[in-house]
Amino acid sequence: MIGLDFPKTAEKYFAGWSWAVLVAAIATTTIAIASTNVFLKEPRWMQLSGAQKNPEPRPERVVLRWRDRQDPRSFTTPAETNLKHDSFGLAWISGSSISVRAKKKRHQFQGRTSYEFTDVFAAQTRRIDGRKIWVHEYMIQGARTGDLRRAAAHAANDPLVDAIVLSLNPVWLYNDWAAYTESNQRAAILGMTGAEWGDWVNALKFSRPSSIAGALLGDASILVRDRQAIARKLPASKSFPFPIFAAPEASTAHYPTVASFYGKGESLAPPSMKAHEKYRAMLLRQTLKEDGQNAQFFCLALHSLRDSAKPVLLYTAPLPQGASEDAELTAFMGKWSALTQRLVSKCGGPNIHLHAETWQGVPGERVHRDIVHLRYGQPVIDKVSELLVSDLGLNVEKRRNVMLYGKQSKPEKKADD
Amino acid sequence: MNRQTVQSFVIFVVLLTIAFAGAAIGSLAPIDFIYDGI
Repeated sequence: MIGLDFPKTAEKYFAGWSWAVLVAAIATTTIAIASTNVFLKEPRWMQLSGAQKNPEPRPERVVLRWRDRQDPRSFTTPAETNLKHDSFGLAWISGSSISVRAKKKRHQFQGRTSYEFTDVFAAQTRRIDGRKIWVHEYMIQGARTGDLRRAAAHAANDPLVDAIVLSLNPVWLYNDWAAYTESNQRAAILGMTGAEWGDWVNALKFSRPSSIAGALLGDASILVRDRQAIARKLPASKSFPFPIFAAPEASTAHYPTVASFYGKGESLAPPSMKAHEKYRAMLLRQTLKEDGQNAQFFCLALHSLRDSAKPVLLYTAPLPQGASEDAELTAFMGKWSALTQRLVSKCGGPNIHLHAETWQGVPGERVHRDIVHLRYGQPVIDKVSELLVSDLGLNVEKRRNVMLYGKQSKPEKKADD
Repeated sequence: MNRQTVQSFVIFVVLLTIAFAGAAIGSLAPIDFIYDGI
């Protein structure tokens, strides 16, 4: 024995305790934890931990508001961006459908093979409504509708954001096979302004109790809110592996195979969509009902967007060119668009402008990598820019003579940029 | 409160705080996101 005889030790220290002392000790601990914000100032490293590699303003006037998926804080606060509210803030909320991976040199954006629509939009736009712009990128890889709802609540209540663009994913918007992407951020909505009873119900359905507790205590305690940042600083060793950062072995049964959804031959696509057969099958598995789980998430997102009174543009990420020749898919997307219109009417407001029909594509060249991801998609960016003017009534002033594409292209630098 | 009670009180508060912090950090799920291409 090394002297850790727990019953004896406990008895030695706590035998004389009354219930009053126990209650006082618990209360003291609670007050000590809850009051950390009074004497602890959140250092910059804690703020920036989990933020994207360059969370501060980028030369292209894009500020990344999304955090690493492990960090429960979900998005950066206005203070963390170091931005003043003297610019026009355009939030662009999306899953990875705004991420472009160019293959050909002529499709590279200023020499970059990997970029987002936000980079291009910011590079080609000088001012909106007479103010210089900042594009607030809310990009969540693998975003599902539960994640979009959280981003919508954040952008709707963010004082730096003046208008919002939300990209709807035609495969996942109503796909009740997935409510969220993998992250520690599912319950974060409960600590945000604009959370509704429906968010509580969803949190209880999909989040761990510890995540819910963390989201609720986060405002009161920096230690709780920044626990991921603190965890990263702790020295973990093999003999004492805490905290645990290594993910368990990926399960091969993580996603059911597409074929398992169907009877023999049912998932077959026509020739025009043969290359996207699996994704097409996944798209057709959406639940087109107003009371579907993801329809409810979408409705909550629309509530936040409506209540913000900020101008909002919803567009659908275009499907590949062959989609319009696919009768089954076209009929399905017709119902999909009608449901989206009904939900916007029911849960949204006059500040929300829907263009569900963009699933059919937009005029101009578009090169698809898969069903929603692109290798080139400038016409989609141009369409969004055009709708900001025609539907949202914004005055979008473009830069002149900016070379966007090609390996050697660089932005034109001017003093007032 | 006698000396023994004060000592045990402090021990209790410290242990409970450590347990709370451990639970907060330990509850973070390690995630190795594998992009599924959709």
